[in-house]
Amino acid sequence: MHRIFVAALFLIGLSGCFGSGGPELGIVEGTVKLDGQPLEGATISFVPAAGGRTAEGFTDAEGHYAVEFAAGAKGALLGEHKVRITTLKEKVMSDSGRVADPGIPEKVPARFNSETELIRDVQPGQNIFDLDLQSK
Amino acid sequence: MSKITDTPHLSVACWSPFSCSKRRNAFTLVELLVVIAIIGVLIALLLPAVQQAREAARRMQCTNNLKQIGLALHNYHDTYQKFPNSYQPDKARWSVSSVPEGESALWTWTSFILPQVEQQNLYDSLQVGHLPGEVSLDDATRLGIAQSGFAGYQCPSSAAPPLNSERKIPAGSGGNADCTDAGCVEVATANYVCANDSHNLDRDNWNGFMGNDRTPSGFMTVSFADIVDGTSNTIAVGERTWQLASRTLRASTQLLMNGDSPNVSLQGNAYISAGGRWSLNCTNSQDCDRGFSSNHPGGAEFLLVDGSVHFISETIDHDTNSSVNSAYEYLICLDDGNPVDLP
Repeated sequence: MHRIFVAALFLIGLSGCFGSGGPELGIVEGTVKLDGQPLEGATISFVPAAGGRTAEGFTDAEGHYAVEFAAGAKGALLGEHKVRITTLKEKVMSDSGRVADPGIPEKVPARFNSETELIRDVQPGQNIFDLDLQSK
Repeated sequence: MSKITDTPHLSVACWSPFSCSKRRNAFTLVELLVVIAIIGVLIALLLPAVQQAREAARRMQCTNNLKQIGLALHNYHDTYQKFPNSYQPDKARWSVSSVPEGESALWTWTSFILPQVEQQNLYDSLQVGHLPGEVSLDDATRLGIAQSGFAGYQCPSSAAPPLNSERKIPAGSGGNADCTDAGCVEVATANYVCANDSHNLDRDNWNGFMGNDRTPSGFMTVSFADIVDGTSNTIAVGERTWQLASRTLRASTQLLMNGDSPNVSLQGNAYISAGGRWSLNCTNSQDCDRGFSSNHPGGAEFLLVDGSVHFISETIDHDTNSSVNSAYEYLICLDDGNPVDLP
């Protein structure tokens, strides 16, 4: 009798092995401020220094962000990342001369995006990276 | 007269591991429960495997569709010495005015290769290239044909509705710019989009396999000679699904698209082509509906220009900035000078 139950438990345990794969990630979130003010509508990119897929997140009205690695997978790869923050959205004109998308100008200095100096090390588990940027 | 219990036949039938002391001709409740539990566990083990086998079959069908598109593109090149453009504005009309979004419907690459995918009748009935798109769709018979579409442009893994209700096409006098009102019609959904640019979608300065043929330097078309990186290192066509996680990615439309705006989700280019700005299978913003995506677990199928179809993992090296500096962008850009080893 006990053997049957042990076998059943083993099989149930085995069925748990059919889980999702993918690389190990660390959860990354935090708040972005520019000159002390929360930065809304910015794109935060965590670019792995060793190569791999960039994880991205977007700030809300309070400047809070959480990055996503892939569909439904929160976080970023482990290890060192270059961090880029940008608010740029390019203006799009249509053929008929209308402005199809007005775009948003860049508010963040280049040393935080195209020539970023920000490096953050993502560890397993929860990572809180609050970024206080100065425009000068 | 012997009792029944004395027959050798029934004493052999005393098989229970728990008790043989009494004669029984029924199962106990515990025995039944144990049997049911074991069967339940076995089914629970089997179900994921069955689902995986079904997805594998769907993915195979999807791969085959891409392969057929690849053969059609090569046959098109044999005929015209160039690959099709991603879409073709009516040149006569373009020279006098424009092809405004919401008012004009433009023929796209999936319509140009119809004769090469054995759909000449579809090509002829819709009068591809002879009638402006919105005029062709203004006729009930032709609209019905455009709504039936061609099954080979749909991937069975993407549970998309047969008609694309998220990306509508102007018919007759058309509707608003995003084509969300009554002046626009729904046509058949497609799941395959061409590779346009390694960054944002671009109308004029694109560096991928397919684009509009109007560039500042004149007319641009791509032939085998322009695939400087090599046909085995350049993506021609990829997938875009209907929905991934909780994000509606809108798939693509067959044969036609809304008028021409280069980089807006509900207009022009974004209907039928994809850019490398958005990670493979990304869902973190609505703009992801301008990239490649699929419902195959862990990645998507891609047709390369050499006609081969490869599964590319969503963990592929990818930097989302504007420069071409990661494996995913190398694959999309046709002349960056960086060949890529596919896994």
